[in-house]
Amino acid sequence: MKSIPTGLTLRVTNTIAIKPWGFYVAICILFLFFASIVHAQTSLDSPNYKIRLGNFNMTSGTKSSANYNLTDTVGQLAAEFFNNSGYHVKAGFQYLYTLYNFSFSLSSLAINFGSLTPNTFSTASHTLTITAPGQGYSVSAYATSQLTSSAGSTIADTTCDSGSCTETAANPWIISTNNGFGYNVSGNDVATDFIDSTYFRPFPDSSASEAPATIMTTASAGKNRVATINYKLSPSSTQAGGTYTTQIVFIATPVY
Amino acid sequence: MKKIIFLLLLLTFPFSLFPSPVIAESVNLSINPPVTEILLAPGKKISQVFTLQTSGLSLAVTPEIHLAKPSDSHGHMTIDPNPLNPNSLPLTITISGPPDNPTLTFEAASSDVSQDVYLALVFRSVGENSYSPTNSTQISPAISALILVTITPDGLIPTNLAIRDFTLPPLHDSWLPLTPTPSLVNSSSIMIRPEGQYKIISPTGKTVFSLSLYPNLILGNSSRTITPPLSWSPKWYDLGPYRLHLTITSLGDTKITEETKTIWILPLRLLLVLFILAITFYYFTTHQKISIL
Repeated sequence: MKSIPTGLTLRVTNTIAIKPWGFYVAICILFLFFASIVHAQTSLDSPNYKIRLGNFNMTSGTKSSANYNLTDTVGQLAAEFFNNSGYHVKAGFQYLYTLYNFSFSLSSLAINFGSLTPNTFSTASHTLTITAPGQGYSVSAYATSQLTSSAGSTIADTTCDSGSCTETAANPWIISTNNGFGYNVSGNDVATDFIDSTYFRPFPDSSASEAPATIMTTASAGKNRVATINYKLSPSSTQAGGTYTTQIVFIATPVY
Repeated sequence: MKKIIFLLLLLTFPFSLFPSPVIAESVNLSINPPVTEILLAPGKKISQVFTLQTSGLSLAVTPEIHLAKPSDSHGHMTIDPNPLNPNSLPLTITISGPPDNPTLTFEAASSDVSQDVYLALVFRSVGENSYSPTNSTQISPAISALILVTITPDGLIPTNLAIRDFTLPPLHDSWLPLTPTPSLVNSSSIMIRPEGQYKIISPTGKTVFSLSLYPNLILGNSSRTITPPLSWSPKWYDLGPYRLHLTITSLGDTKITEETKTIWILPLRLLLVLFILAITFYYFTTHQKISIL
């Protein structure tokens, strides 16, 4: 019987063991060298405006007192001007030269749900469009009351499927027997808790001293930023008959 | 075939005579000036004209004054949904002129101490023909202009600013950009618009990066994240201890506060790769020796 040389046996074993390990190291090195660098996209440069860091001020309208009329801002001479006049006004987005106005539009001023069926969703929607120079904007919303009938009956706010959504925290709402009234927002700069189209919130009720809820917000300038408000309503089977109405207020506010 | 076409035309003809009207109900509001800062001495009066431009549906507009307060460190404000009770302010405000072009006159009450008042002029509109007899919601768009008032007897603004979150790890990989995100905290009750400078100084004392900060307004008892982003990408030869220097000054260039941090810039990723290569090389050479044996 022939004996196999010991050295040959060792060489074969080593070759099988090293190959995957070496491949793994090579891949790791490649990933380390060519890892993508993440940049924060918060640059305030845009083709639409320029940042002016000097003493440029934008003004609008007229300012006056018993002894003075002021038609422009005074920049670095503000302290001296204040000492002489007793006032100083800076109007506009200070230190920003803007090419467009702060504006806000809605596609509709009335949402009609038609006849309602108990435990069935009725939906409606409209869009908000906002243009904001400067350093951003926010849009907040509130209802002046709950949906109320002429007889004084109300349709309650939604608490969503989990029973835990609030005026500032959206949650999924897809089961129509979970009755109530709520809204979802989708589009540009929308609040992050509206994860998808199934996430809803109730409107804050100003008659109950609830604070307006922010639905769109950003810290950068934007032109024609659009969001869609989706309303959803499901009355219960014990809901009193009648015509239910309310008023929803959307307030656009610039960043100071 | 001709009969079918004729029948179709005959059936569709009445629809063309009585089309359902489509009413464009969109509305657009634009306001100017959007932000107004006022420095006012007690007993003095100042007027400011605001202009609201509207387009779309016929609108009834109502200007109202509401209280506002800062809501975050990015310059956003929360507006009180209820109109202001004027008696609660050290300021008399009168609105005159047409609703879409009102003149607001502010008169500061007598006071020995400086104080701020933050307001929003809210233009609320309702479509004239938007009433519906069925279950419905009326939508009321509103646009606001911020009015930020400081009442001061002598024009001297108390400053109490501090730099916050200017924290960095002791080591930084030269492969990655260095982007601290500090903010300024105004512990005074009076708003301030400071300037600032951000510098990175090399171990040899040379300034390798310099950036002027936006002179953002910081309202009383609030904070503001410093902008623009303080992002610096080291070059491959930028190695060693670097000093990051942040200086905050008033508009008159008086230093308010400053802070310096030291950070070591090292090629950590490259060192790691070299280390792995060294281990790999060592492993191969060691086992090759064994295999030769």
